Amino acid sequence: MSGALTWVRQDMRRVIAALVGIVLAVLMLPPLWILLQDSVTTTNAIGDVTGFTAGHFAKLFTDKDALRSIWNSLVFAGGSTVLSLVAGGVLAWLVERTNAPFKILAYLATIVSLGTPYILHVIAWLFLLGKVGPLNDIYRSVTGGTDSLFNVNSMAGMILIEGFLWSPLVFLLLGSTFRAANADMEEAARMSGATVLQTLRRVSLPLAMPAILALALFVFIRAIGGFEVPALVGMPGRIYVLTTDVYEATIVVPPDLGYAAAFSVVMVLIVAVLLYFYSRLSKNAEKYHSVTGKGFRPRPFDLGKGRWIAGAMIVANFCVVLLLPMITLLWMALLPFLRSFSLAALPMLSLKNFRTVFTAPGYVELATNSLLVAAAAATFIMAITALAGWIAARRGPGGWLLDQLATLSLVFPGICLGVAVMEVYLRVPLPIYGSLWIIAIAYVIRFMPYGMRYVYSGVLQLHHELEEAAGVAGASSLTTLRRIVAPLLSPAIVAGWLFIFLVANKELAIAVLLASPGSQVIAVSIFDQWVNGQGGELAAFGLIWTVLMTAIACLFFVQGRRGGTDVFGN
Amino acid sequence: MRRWTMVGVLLLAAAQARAASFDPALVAAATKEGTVVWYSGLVVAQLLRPMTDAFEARFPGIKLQYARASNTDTTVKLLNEARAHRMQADVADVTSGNFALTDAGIFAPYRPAAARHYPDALKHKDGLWTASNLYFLGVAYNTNLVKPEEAPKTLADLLDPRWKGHMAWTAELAAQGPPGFVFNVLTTMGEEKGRAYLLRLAVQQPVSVAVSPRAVLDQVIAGEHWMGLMMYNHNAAASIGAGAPLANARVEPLVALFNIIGVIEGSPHPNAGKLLVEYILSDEGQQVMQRQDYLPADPNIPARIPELKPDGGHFAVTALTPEIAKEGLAKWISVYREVFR
Amino acid sequence: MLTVHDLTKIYANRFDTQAGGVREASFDLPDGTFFTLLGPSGCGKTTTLRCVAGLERPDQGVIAVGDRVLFDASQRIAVPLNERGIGMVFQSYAIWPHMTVFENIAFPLRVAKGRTPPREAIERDVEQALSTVGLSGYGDRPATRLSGGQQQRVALARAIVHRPKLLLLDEPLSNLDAALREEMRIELRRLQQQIGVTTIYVTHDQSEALAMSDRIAVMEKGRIVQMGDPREIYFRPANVFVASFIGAANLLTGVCAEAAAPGSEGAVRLPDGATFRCLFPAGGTAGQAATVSVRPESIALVSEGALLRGEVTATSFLGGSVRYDVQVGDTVVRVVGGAERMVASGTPVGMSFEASSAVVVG
Repeated sequence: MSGALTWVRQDMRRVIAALVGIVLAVLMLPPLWILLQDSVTTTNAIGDVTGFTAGHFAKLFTDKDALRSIWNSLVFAGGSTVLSLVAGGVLAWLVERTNAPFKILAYLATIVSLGTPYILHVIAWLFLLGKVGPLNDIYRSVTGGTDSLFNVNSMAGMILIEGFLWSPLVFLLLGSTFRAANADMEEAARMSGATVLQTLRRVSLPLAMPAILALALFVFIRAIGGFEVPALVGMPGRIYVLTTDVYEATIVVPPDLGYAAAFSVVMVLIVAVLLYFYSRLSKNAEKYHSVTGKGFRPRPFDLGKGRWIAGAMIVANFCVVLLLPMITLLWMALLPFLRSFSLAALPMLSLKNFRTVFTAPGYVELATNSLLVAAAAATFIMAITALAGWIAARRGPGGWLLDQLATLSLVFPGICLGVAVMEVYLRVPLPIYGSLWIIAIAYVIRFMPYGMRYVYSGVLQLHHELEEAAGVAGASSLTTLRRIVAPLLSPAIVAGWLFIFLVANKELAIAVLLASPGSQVIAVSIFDQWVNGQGGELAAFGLIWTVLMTAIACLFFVQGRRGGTDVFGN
Repeated sequence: MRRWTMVGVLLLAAAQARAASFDPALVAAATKEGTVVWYSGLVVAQLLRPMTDAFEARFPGIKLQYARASNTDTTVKLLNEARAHRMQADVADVTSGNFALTDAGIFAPYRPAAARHYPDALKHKDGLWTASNLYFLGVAYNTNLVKPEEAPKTLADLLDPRWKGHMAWTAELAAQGPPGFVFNVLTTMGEEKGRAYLLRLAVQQPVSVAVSPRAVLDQVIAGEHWMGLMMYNHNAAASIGAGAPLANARVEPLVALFNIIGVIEGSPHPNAGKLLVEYILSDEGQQVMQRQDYLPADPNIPARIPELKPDGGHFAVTALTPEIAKEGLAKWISVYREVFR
Repeated sequence: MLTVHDLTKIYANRFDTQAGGVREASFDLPDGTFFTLLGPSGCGKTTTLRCVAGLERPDQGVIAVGDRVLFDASQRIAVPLNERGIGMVFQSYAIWPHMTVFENIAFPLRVAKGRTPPREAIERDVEQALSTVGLSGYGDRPATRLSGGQQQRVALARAIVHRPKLLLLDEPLSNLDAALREEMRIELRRLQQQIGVTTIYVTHDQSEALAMSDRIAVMEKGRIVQMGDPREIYFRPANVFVASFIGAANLLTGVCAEAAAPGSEGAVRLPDGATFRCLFPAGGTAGQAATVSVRPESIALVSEGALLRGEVTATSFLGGSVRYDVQVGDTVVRVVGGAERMVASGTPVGMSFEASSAVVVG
């Protein structure tokens, strides 16, 4: 009896690829389309399209303010990238490759920052560096004058705060690069007579350079799309960047969505170009990446007397990233209205704000909403990317297309995506706009690329023969996926889930345009309260929330160390 | 003596009687709906929470959900919700400089029984909105940083170089922000002299903060700025009462606005919305306003601190009515942008 | 009984004109044969194996096990890999780390199409497979706690537990250290004979191939260049490639001095005049160029009757034997001799060998 089966047996993977592809396309493509459409059309008051126009773009390129915003964006992103690379990179090297003391402080600062909404960090630093903050206070008491040493609402202030916003992530990622570096190369340099610094300069850094450059691009892309710092720090100093221009265009009456869309398209193009270079650099980074495969850990450099300088740097970083902001928030939370650190204010300290947070009904609902939305988004993303990432990493049918679709949203800065999602779902006749669903959808679109990276690199770490063996042993594609791939991929999936869950809560820009009363999430609520003048309450709530999220961030960290893969292919 | 006591008792009884009267059918229908959603520009701690507590105490079966947002944000949200045909709010209030909502048909016509005795100037001619409370915007300063004898007393005083860089106002492009100030100056000094003044004021580099006027005031209290322009005098009074180092300056004329409140067209809980509006405009609601140092629109209910109103405080005002706003807002915004940004 | 006919699969390669893959491979294997595909990397042996397994789809050809056709390009038949009922041991062993040894081996029984066999039947089969590979009692051990050799046995047990008609082994010994490798060679061969399953074995190690196989197919650049039993391959290499790939070979290039019929002896003269008798498997005409292959162990160092003369340039004592590099003109001839007598470096020597040990390969 000869096999009477058809030439092409229905490959389950094709079916899966098609289904997943449809879901991804429905999610990721409409926002892009709508942005493009909005940027070249005019609409009436109700929002119906009335005609085509190049006016929005024309306005953008002739308005000198718009050009200045583009310049400001570049300077802002460039400066904060450099600062975060230096701060995070030096810290990473000290912690991973030397015998500096107090290493645990660096990890602690990083973990807590993973759980802290950006906006809290910004608010704390606005105070610390602001006119009534300790920096200027001390300056005034030293000089006896009334001036401030430092104006925080300046480009310098913006760069400073944004730079330290990103340095923990840089620390995390460069840390894993340094950890995985091949010790042989450096030991060969030392055997040839080089000092620690010479080895660093001539061997370690050049070898890590592709990974460093790729990371620099990544931070630059995030910074250029940053919203919290430009909105809270830049706008009061009349420094405008692309993201705040987009935001402003959407909150005037009537909203100038065409203009906002044109801005967004420009931003998307800039980011798309940068992303292209980033992916090229990443591939090169992998070439240099030396995996000894035998768990060979490099020996730490002995810094000798320099140990204490290194320790001081680690402690300084800890203070900047964690200690000072937390103290500030506590100060704000304990006072009825904000004033500078002084003994005179001590009698006014009270727990009233904390009491309000625990008793006022809104806060519980707020916390629940935020957790629910983040969890739902994380779950959906990991489910979809588990399938899409497996197919893409194994070069299955449609793999390249799935990969592109899943990572498409990286080109959108958060605020642009918020505008696009709002526009799409205002037109959809389902009750999505104004509910929590729209925020969940926005999160799914925004963070899909991260799920994809986790799964993709997780699958690459699984030897393809593990799946082939299952196939030869008689398992169908689905069975292989269920019994072999899924269990082995679970560390990566869990790590991805936790990461997305944490990061979703940190970002303001994506939700600020989409939240409604009854469907508020944490970052937006904090922003609202800040704008409203409820500084004390938001500090109290922010602290409690940070504690909660730090606990989850610890989980993430432990998971990552144990078996979950690093996001960037290490 | 006894005669006055009698009158007092009678008045009190009358007041009580008035306070108790809400249409029972409306109350029943509202209770059935069970919830009312209110988009407001009023300050949460100062007004929204106490009003909610009072309302829910009065009508136990109805839950009041408020969402505080700036006027522009509230407007944008409501316009968006209308586009999506998914209104979420039952009641909304904005300052009287806002005409976009009225023009877009967001408000539903409803003439509250409680506001029957309010002057016509405080009501929309077709019943789209009613004034809930009054605003007077002026200059407030931090008493630790500015001595009372040095404090500005006229608009011209604001041009003193010693204030350079130490003034702040909200960045909101609305009647209660810098555009309202522009209107005040142009109206008071005339077009030419007004513009000249504004150019000189721009030299003072007032800081635009992207927060509500209440939050700007908090920054003045904290010492971040020495004085705030276009500050609500009732906000300042509340903080002064709480012990903040703050004072209202007598820079005349102040800008007079009021807060308008209305029921939303196509809202999910229409009866509850109507009941809420009735409540806020009733004696009870207006008394909550009074207690919380807001300035009740009800002509029968005085402000707790009489000086906050023009007759009690003897200050001049420039009235910014909705008609004036509709005509002039765009121009004031462009003047502001031209001169200050 | 495995039939492979005209199997072709070509990988397009942008950079060279040479594409990888296999071309027109054909062989028929009786039941129970241990058949080895031998060749350097890139020769197509793994491709051939994977085509038989169903991991690759060939461009052309027929693959059949018994009467069951697994693949026939012209008739558009292609049985999916998970329905071929073949056992395979991968180069990396592919032992699933999240399962125990028992679960790894039981897997093929559990996922087979049709109803899952009852638990006792599965247990019985797994136990039997375990004892066949000498790992009885290891069932509960987590897969992550196995040594390299143990993993290999588990992989083998998994491949045979469902009594396949065909067993495929993809360089299974290359990840083991030398001592273990030798041991496992013997072990594997013994097991295969015990079970009696037709086996295809892929390796680049010619000593492995010679030691284990019933039949060997030597492959070069996608084609089978010689197929035969180990002795045939070793002593009668078909061309220069096979001669140098299998064992060490001395290649002496000269000219046919005396015509010979195919399969009979003739004579070859080297450029320096030395002439000797050798075998012409393909025959030869006088004057034709001829390359002769002589195995080092077939050459003896003699004091008289030498066919070649040269000088010892290197001497290596290998314990059981001694290896000499002898300079003859500009070629180096390698000789392996007994260890009782060692000739020192620099000594002029004469070499002699049987005609039947010298084969013309090209």
